[in-house]
Amino acid sequence: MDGTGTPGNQSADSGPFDAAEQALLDGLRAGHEPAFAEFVASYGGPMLATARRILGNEEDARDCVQDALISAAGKIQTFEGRSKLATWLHRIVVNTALSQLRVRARRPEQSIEPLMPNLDMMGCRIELPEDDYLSLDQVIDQSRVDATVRDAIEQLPESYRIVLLLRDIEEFNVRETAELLETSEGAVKTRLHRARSALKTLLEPILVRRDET
Amino acid sequence: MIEKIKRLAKGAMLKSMPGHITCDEFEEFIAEYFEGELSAVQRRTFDMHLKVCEDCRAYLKAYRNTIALGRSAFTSGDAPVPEDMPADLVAAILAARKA
Repeated sequence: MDGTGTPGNQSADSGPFDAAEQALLDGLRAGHEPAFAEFVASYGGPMLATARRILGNEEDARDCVQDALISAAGKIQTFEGRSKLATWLHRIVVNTALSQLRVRARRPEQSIEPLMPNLDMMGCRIELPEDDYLSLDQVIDQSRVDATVRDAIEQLPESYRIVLLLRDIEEFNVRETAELLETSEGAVKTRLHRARSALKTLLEPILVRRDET
Repeated sequence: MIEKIKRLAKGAMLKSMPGHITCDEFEEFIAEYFEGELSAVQRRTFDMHLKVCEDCRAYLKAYRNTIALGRSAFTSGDAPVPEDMPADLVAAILAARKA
């Protein structure tokens, strides 16, 4: 899959283009260089953010955005306008980043088992008392929460980190995530659940109430 | 030790009670629950387990917070999301396309 097909989440993104976007599309289709420059400047920032999240490396992210934008401009004739241009480009940059990841084998995959929920021999969960967990507002009130969460996501084994990013951060639905990863929806759900479970384990230092001494 | 015995008893009870599931079976429902894809019967079973299992209630609370934290970590105020495209990258892409 090259990411230039019809985007899946059309109901959320469909709609007519405004005049400026239509003019940009016309310019791109006609091969006008100023239109391409505007295209790069206007749409590149969010694409770069996505590439950074997936690739975790500035140089690779820049290469990814360059490849994605040049590829998209070359395929602009195939853009049917059934989604927003930004949605189409989002999918292209994700596909480009995933291709880069497959090529470079970012890091050896580690076992996720040590981070899985604790169940006893009867299948009963061994968990902290509910009151030991802070409410979401209390968790968010702590300092450096976002940085801690981003660091924890970065620690997940690669195949779990990617599925969590695509579903929870990039907001592709399960079907779209399965298409992007060339796997089944069932596999996505299983992997996503394990990724979230592992992330919960990694985040316990900020999720759990600490005794004030 | 007492906690362990209580858990074993709970596990045996859940296995023997019609319509109830154990925590490891509950675990298999969670992904579908968050996608809103549980059938009505599955949802009733899921909710019934939550009523009787404080460990799964605690787990689900922390799991739900984990999802919310993940979603906000890249979009909240201090998240490193660029709004603009660096000028040198724009120039590099324009040059690369001409090459």
